[in-house]
Amino acid sequence: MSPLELVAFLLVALAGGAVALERDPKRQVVALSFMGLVLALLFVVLQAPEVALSQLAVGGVLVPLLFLAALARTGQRREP
Amino acid sequence: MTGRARAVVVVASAALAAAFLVPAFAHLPPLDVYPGPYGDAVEPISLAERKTTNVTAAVAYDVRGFDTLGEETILVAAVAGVGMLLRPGKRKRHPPAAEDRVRDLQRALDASRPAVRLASADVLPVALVFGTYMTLHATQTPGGGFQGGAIIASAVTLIYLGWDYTAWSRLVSERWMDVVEAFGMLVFLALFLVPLALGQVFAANWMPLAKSGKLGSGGVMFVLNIGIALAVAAGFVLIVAEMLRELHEPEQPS
Repeated sequence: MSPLELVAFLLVALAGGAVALERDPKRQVVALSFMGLVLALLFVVLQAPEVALSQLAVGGVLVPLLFLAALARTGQRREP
Repeated sequence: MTGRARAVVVVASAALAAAFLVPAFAHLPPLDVYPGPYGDAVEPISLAERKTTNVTAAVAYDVRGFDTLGEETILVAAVAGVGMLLRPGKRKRHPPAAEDRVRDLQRALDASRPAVRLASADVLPVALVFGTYMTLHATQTPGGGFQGGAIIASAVTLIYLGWDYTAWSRLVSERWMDVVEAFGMLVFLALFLVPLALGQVFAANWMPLAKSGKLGSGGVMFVLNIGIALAVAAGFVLIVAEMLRELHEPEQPS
């Protein structure tokens, strides 16, 4: 495995760990977005640019946005 | 389970997983060694016969176009599922009352960050153009209809992120997104059905193939990617629009 691949894999592992170890859901969403970015980087290193582009848009922007909307909605119900 | 017990379980499972994963990763063949027959069979076809330099697009939209048809149907079905869950049923939605709208607008203005608005205003048109570029160059460079559509959808969400829900609801019409998504899907399906009328196979590449490397190469793939981009962009925007409407216009119990 080349050093670049190794670094990419380690980054993904670290980002995933950060998402799992963070307790506040709102921060988890930001960590999730960062993990999407790092995952896209990994896909580029593994020579799959098409997958990386899809991952960047979906995992980096759209899924975290949906999470945030859902979090805001469930937080809304507690307000008087 | 106490924190300490949880930590023990995590370390033990990580060690077990590592015992399998590390030798597996060490024994992975390097990236330039390709053993399989499929790539060698597909690569000469895509350049010589289909005039496409983007081999992945040639596989996804021509050689295996049928798979992509299934995938797009899945996406449309998922969007329909979200719509089924979140659209108003018998209970009519009540858009917020006038004083609530003023209060929300005031809150949004107080909370809005000019830097975010500026960044959104700068990035939005660039991202729209980039998504369109990626869709149109599907057969030449990595990317394609799905990627371009996802990027366009992400750009449209910047309207909400940079401004507020009022701007979003005024600029993004769910009905139009419905139409665009259905139109994109229909374009896809129609392009696959036309060769049947021409006496060819289902999903045959029946349009004239331009020179490879030029815009519009790949025949039917060029139009297919445009259809996919429309369907995907509209689909994603629809999902986000439904979720945001659920957030900002909650159902009032009647």
